[in-house]
Amino acid sequence: MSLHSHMRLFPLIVLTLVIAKAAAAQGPVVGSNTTTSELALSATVQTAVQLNISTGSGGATVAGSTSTGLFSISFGNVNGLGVGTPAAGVTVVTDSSGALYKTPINLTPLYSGFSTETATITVQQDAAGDTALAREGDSNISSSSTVSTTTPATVATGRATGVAFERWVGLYVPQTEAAGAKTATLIYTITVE
Amino acid sequence: MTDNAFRCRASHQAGNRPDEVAKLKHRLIVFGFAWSIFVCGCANSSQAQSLTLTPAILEAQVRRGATYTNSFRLTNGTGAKLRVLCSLYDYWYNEKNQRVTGRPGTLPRSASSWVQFSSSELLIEPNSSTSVKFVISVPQDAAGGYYTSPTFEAEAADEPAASGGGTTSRAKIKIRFHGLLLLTTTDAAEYNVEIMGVQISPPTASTSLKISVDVRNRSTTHAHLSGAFALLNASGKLAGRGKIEEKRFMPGERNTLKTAWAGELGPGRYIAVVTLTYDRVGDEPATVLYEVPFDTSAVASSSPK
Repeated sequence: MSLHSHMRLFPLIVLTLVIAKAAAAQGPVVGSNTTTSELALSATVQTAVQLNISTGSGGATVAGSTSTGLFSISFGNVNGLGVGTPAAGVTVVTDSSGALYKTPINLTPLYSGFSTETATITVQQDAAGDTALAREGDSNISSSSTVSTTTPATVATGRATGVAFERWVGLYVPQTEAAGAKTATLIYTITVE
Repeated sequence: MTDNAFRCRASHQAGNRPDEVAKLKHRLIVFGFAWSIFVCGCANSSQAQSLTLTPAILEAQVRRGATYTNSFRLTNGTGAKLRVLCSLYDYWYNEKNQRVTGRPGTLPRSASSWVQFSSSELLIEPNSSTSVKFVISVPQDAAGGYYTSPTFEAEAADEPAASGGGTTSRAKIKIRFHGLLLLTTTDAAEYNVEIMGVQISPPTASTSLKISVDVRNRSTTHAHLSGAFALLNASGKLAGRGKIEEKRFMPGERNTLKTAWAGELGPGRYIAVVTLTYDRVGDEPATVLYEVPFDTSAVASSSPK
């Protein structure tokens, strides 16, 4: 091994000695060259709750960006006859009075720090917007799956943490609905128990 | 096939034709660019967007006439700015012991009017978090437990760009958290928890032993009840034991604690000894004990005489 190689190892040796000295200096000791000290670790565990929203399997994008719409689902151009091609991920179901445009989303509640990890998730509708058009339900969502603006409807109770469940969001367009852009707002509320 | 394989084949095939090499390189660049956009788009559409509240439940002992400051932290796990509205709701329970919320001052033992947020509206930048402070002012005449549900309602701060000439239809989604603030005065809180009855369903060949404990919390504040049970045979020897999971009882709430035990009991007479324990603010923990005999051949139930 050349002198150059030894010189390359020198900083490493110095560093090792410094660490060893620091480690040995953790507390007073007599008759020994090593000692140990206790490091007390303390923390306060807080409760936490989280709700994730993600695009449902084969559904329209809900978890987009600012440009595509965050927590927002675009149903594209809709009509009461259900004709034409719906937006990507949107399914249309017609009846004698109108057309239901629907798409799935996934909700995932997460809890931490609860003695009994349960929470209830409800849905209601913001009073602002085209409230008569909004629909929400499970995979059996239909034109009758209306959403109240005053009384929250329970969609999940006692859900285990981290387990996603699917909900369907829709807009029902009656044939009598006037043309123009339509917007409805659903409010998912998570209440810890 | 890897990018390197693409490159090798392209060079080999177009060795003596520089113009075709250039075309092929151009196509590869365009393909790579398009692929990147596709991958990013897929990742973006499937990625979950989250909102987190910490702490979700805050339990505190307060002195009458004192003020306290604390904070909630909201974490925006999305790629966009969120607007969060902060408000307070009352928190109580209904006749089915389900938790209910109501407008401030409409439900018993409301602490909603005691709490003041530093701001009623927050803007949280993408993938970041912020704290909202609050001050609790405890009235002089408060005694026992008081409750409120800090509520945070989040929505995208910026409207998405309109498409289709602004005539498309859209469903927007808001997330609302109902947190919980449980306050107990350090003095003047009275505790009285009673076991109203215990029902035992003895084990069978296909079912476990089940214990239902009927409990009433007559305290002026909530109590976290947890407990244990022991099964003693006719000679007083321990035949089995287990735990009863913790449950919070609001003031005046009557509810049932349930547990099960999967062991085996031979035919005969037994005694189930149920103990419930709960903490008391400003005092030692209290324990309530209840005994009920039962026979393995029938369902036993008992009520205090």
